[in-house]
Amino acid sequence: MSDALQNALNHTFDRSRIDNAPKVTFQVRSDSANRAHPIRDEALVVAFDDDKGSESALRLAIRLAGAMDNRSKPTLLVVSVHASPREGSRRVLLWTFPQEEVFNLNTSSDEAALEMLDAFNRESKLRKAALIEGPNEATSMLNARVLDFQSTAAERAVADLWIVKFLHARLQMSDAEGTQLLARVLRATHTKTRADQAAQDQIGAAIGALRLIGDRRVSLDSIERAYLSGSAAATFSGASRPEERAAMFSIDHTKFDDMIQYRRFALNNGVVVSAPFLEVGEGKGVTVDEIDGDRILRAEGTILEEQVRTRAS
Amino acid sequence: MHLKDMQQIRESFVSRHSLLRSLADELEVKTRQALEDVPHIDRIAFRAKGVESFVAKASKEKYSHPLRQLEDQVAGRVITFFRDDIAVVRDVLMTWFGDVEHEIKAPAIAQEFGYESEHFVFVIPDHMKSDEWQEIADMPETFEFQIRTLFMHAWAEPQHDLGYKGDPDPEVKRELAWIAASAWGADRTLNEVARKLSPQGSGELT
Repeated sequence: MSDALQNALNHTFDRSRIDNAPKVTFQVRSDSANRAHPIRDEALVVAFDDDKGSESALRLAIRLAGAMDNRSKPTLLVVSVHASPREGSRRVLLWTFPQEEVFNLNTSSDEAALEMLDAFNRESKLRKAALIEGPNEATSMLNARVLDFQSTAAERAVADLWIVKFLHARLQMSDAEGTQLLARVLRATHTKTRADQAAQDQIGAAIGALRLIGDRRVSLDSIERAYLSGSAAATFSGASRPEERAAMFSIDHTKFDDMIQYRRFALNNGVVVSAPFLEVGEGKGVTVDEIDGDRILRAEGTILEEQVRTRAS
Repeated sequence: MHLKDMQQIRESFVSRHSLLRSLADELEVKTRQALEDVPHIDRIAFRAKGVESFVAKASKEKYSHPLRQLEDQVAGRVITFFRDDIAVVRDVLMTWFGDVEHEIKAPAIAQEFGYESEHFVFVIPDHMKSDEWQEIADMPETFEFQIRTLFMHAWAEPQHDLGYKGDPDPEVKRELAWIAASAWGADRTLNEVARKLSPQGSGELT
């Protein structure tokens, strides 16, 4: 490898900040004694067996080609091994740089010539990387740090290509856990901003938008950036642990609707109104308007059932 | 392994014990959240391994770097009422955590009775670790987990506590086998009764 190429890769590595990228967990064969896994197995060979590293790199390239399934443009796969600051450990870095069209200005002859070339772009937004680090032990290299700007794509096949299909890995926060966390944080934020109508409106709008977001991957951080500001954002951020906020997950919509299904209003005359979330708002069954500084609720609908209860619940 | 090394390992383990306890607490909270809709859970408990227990295990020759190789530094257990509940708990937790090992422990021979439990090794998710965790070398990447019924536990815990070494005499072996067989029989029968008494005779425990 030339010094220029080495420097270019080092520069790309430093700029990527993959050291702080989200982690995924390899889906190893949990019934196998050696925790077999198509990427982990090859990464251990690449890192610790100098004689067989190139064979493993070839198998990784073949696996990537299979995952891409002729739907993407050609991609350069770079497999490199680096020293690790941790004792006995090594770092294996898998990079992909997609091929893109670039202009090439040739001024070597009398006339300047502009031509189109295909090149592998190290700054491409579609580049992907996985950093696998650890010693050569059964308890190591079970995770990878991952860079994948397409992992939040709306189309699941695109979002899953690197992490799910090639790396055979899962996000560390499951959809069930992430959805439960999100619902709890939204509920806490809603409760704590009770006196702040602007914040309540933001949260209501965010819940409405999240119900329609489909399978797109989100994090608490990305939701805060997209939908909240001011006191709503600050309260939302404070309702979870810092370590949880960057973890990505997809919303389990059935679970989300179960957990954020109703808004409950207690009125000054003892009336309690429990309304499905989607039925609150202008033109819906329950409307809330601000009149002379008070929030006034109006509910309209056909009574289907009536009960006598000891107290409102 | 040299005595000096073990002393260093002990000190390192003691200094990180509060982080392991915090992780155990966090995992217990998460496991409770994961199983909040699952019925028939008797208890959910996590613990950080005790110092003396860790040192005893770490001194074994097969562990060259015990601080990162021992996977039970943090461990948890769920105890269910009925056998059928084990599969429900297993499915939920395998969705929440990435499993790297899963083993159903049972006597190897059909005619034998003894220890039964489901054992897992799960990866510790990054978002459940504190910031300090990332600063320390050789922290564990995994934790151990067990799922068993009340009757499996009723056999496993006391016989473990007895701590007999070597090969007990035939009379004691026979008595232990009888206790295990009784627990197994009670476990199976209780599960069958629960199925029969399930709503609308569906046969499914709710």
